[in-house]
Amino acid sequence: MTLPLNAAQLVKTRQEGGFLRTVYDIAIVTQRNLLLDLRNPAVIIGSTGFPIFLMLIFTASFAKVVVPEGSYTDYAQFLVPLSTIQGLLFSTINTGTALYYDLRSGMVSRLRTLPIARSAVLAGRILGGAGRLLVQVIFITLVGHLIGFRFQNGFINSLIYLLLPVLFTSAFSWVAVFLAVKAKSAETVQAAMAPWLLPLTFLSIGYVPKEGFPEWVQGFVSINPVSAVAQAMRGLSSGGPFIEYVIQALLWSAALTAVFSTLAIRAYQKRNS
Amino acid sequence: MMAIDLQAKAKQLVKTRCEVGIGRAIADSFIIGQRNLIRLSRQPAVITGVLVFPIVFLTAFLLAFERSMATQNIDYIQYLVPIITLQAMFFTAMNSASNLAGDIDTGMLQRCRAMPISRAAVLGGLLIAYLVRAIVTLAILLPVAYLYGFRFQSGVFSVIGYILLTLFFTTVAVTGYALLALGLKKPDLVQSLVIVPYAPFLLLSSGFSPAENFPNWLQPFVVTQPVSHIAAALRALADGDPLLIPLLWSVAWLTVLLGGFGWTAIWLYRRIS
Repeated sequence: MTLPLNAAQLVKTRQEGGFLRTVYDIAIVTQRNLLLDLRNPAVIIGSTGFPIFLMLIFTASFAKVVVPEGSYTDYAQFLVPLSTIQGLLFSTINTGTALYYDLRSGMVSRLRTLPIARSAVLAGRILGGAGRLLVQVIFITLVGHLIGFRFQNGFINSLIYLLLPVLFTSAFSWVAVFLAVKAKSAETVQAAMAPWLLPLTFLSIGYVPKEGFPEWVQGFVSINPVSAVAQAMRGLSSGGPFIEYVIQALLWSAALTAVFSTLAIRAYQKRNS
Repeated sequence: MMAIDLQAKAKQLVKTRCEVGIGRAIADSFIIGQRNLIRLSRQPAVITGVLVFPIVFLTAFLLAFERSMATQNIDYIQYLVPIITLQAMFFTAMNSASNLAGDIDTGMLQRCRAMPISRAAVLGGLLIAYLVRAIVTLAILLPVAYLYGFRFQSGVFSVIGYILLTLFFTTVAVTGYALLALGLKKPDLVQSLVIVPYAPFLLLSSGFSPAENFPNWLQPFVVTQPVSHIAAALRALADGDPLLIPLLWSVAWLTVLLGGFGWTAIWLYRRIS
């Protein structure tokens, strides 16, 4: 007999457990998620349109308040990094609700019956989300360009500028995914994330410099990871020190990802559907 | 002979059950309103929308911009509370649109039409439920604003006026958003488009930042649009400032809008089959 006869041999031939196989499976699930986004451009346009809108409106209404002696362009240069982070952070909620719908519709059950890596469902969701986030960064930056935002610090730094917020907010995608696995309705993810994402972005150096806050809030503003990312992105785009802040942002991203990916994966394994 | 008999009987039945008339329309609206309230009290997103969001926005804006506004001689808590109130009412109305679209989608609306209830009851009930929600929101928001230092400077009538004007605005906003739901019908579409009326009217108003801070070409819009006038009237009520002109503008705008929205909403409601 030349045909493999038992399951162990079958698994071995198909290399279901190997590292390369895992990477390949994750790539396939990611591709599926990205295709879904491509087929529903309204979702991306909607979730990108709102931060762009906020950015334009804040520039119009608060430029003269925050930088009284400056122009609207100066405030745009100041604000675009934060608008980017804020838009992406809120977009991570969509990553969570998308996973929730997959769980509810039975797509995830289907994936579990397939001979693919078990990590592919969640990792593919995060990576697909990251692809969407990257598209959004580019959109927001392009509109930022229209109102006067410019990269003044070289090509490589501009590339890091685009990737850093994607990496940072992907850590928050894990939070959304964790909540989605636990959630009983799609609204729960939204209701559990929006109330703290909002103060997190407002109480940072993003809209107003640190000195604009009352003293007792300044401590929080300084340790807020959003401040570190905004400062890093400002350095990367407009010049000024940034290496320290990029490192801070990376450390925050790594720590948050480690904690919430662990929680999400554990919750996912416990779930029996 | 038989047919005439039946028709007479039906007429008599309708007469005994008082299916038409203002009294019946109001009673039916209250029943539908009660049903909407029960549903609202069971949605987690509503709880955060009512309890958390207005307070989070108030706190975030106050902390971020109070100092910068102080340099323009603006006591920001007094300036900010009216527009945060209107924003909360916008959220209320936006939620009413997605719930109405949900009713259209699931067939609840058709069920209501098949029942011997007043035709005005569906829209009336929606309005009643959301006015109750608006009152609850105010009952939470205003005490918190008081803690932050917001004060009514001129007695109990200004408080009543403030609440009545807010509820008038809510009525118009719910009617306007009902239009969106009746026109678009699909819940996810409505969900993604509720932001379209909200963003320009709320944010491009003199509610967060005085009109002089906007770019010159935007100022005409900011100055004339209804939300600016209503926010100004609410501020005048709170501060005890001259009230007549902003109040007249507000009431004029709201009356015109209510007429337009109401007429179109009824027309669209009749056309839905």
